[in-house]
Amino acid sequence: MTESIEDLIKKGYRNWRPNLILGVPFLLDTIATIIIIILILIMLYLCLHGPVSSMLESIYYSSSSAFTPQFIQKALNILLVVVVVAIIAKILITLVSSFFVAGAIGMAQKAIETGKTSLGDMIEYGRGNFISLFFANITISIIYLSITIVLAIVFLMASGALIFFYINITNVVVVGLALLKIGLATWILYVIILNVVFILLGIILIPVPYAVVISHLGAIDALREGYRFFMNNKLLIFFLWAVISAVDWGLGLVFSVVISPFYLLNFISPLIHLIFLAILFLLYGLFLLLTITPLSTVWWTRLYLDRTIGIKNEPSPPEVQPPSQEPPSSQPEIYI
Amino acid sequence: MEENLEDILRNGFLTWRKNLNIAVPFLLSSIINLLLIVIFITIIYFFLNPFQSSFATASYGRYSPLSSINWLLLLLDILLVISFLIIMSIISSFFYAGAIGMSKKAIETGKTTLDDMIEYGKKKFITIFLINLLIFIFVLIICLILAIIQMIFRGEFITIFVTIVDIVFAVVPFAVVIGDLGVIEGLKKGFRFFIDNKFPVVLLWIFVRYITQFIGYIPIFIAAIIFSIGILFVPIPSDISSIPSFTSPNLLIPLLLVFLLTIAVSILVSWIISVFVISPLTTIWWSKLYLDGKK
Repeated sequence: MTESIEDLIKKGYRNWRPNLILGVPFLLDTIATIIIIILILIMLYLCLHGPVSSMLESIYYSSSSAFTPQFIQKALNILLVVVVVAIIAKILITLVSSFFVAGAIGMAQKAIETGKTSLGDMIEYGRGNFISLFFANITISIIYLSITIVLAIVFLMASGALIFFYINITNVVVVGLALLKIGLATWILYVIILNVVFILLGIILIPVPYAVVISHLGAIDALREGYRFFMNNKLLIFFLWAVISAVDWGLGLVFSVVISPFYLLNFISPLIHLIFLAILFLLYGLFLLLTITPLSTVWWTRLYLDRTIGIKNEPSPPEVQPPSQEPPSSQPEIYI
Repeated sequence: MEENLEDILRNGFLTWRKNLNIAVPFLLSSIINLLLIVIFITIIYFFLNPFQSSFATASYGRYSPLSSINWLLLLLDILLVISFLIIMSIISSFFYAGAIGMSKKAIETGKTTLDDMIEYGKKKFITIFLINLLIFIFVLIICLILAIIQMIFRGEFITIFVTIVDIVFAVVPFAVVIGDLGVIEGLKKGFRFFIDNKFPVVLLWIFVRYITQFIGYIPIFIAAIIFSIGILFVPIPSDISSIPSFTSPNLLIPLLLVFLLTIAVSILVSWIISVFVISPLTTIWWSKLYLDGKK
């Protein structure tokens, strides 16, 4: 017997409430990501400060054209460094967030099954699953990237083919207008189709991290299992996604009311108002990170657990149902 | 609660598939209202236009346009607008009551006909109309107060208030039609139903809101495809040779046509989706929730 969406949301909330520590992995993940980004930026600055300033000097002081072959060679080298560093940064960030997300899902599973979790679970599950989750995440990134590139090539070829209709025309203005309209049309189609594919993929791939951690699957198996899980539970996944979006939206509305009295600060000084707003937005972001993200992780974990291996040895909730309601409905089933 | 929400959604979908005629009241309602709007605009424009004389005199520059408005006609027009809004609201109420009645019949017996629409519509349209009017006046007064607060403090007060009213009174029309109640009892019963079934009501409201939003992307998607393909077919006239001739009608008229076609198709698609899919389905879901909920 699987849980209904009402039970899922209620019980998930009850699992999360005594385990506020579930927010910690997400907090650590964000802090680690920020540190990595700062380190990478410092490294880039140290590596490229010299070459770039010498290049700028050569543009300023050279009398002839600055774009000599050496200059272009240098510029390409710098570009190469930036691309390599960006890829390294992406890999590092994915690695770190794989560890913490795997840990958070493991903690959520512990909280659901035993009612209590600790940071020890985060380290245990994070260590055990981060490699698989990392490869799953990298595979997903590669899927997104290859869809982008393949679609771009298809649309570029299509627009190239359409331009051949105007190959005999010598009127520059007509050719320019033709290029404009073909470019605009293919660009709109490209952006729209890419967006639709990405939105759908974003929802379809939601279960993948849960398949990695809870079902102990490798990257490719987890992708397959995540897709299969989505196809079997489309309605529930959409429903839970809608509930989480609605909670987000509702909290945003409440937040707008909470910050509204600070608008009066404008009459003292707009700068003070702005500073207060910045602080409040930061606090709000922190609040979301520490409440909504872990809560939705618990919900997704519960959904996945319930629909795959089932929720085992769940402790009975503290609010026990009144016994007068229960026996008449359960006893006949036992004796029949 | 006998059924959980998933069952309500699934079975409601099946009920809708077997009774596609629940779309008929929504179809008739929107067509009749559209006709009324056309008639109404024609009347005001051709017969009761209070600005008609003022445009003629204002163009000579002797009189300010305000002084030459025919105030009697303006008053008449305002009365006309209000009465037309009331008529349209009554017509919508009739068909909405009919749709709820039809979905009740479809849920209970598995089959429904247009006779049910007329029967329930005739019986309940005044109640539905009065309830809508009461809620509308209530919301309007509070919103006017909230608008002043919102102007000073810049919070989303109005959205929060309207959302809460929408959720709390969501089942009132269903209580009226399905429970066969009057105005005050209907409001009371709908409110009580919400208090007893807070969680399912909120969840169904969220689901309906997001599924509507999600399906609402379809017309945008179609519009973008039509627009981009339409642009491809805009012929470029060969007489264009310089910048000023970009405004030549040979180029502008096809562009305008593509634009109008895009807008027309997207409006038509979203109208079709709303009338044939969203409105009947949500009516069935809410009726089912009301029929299954704790009374």
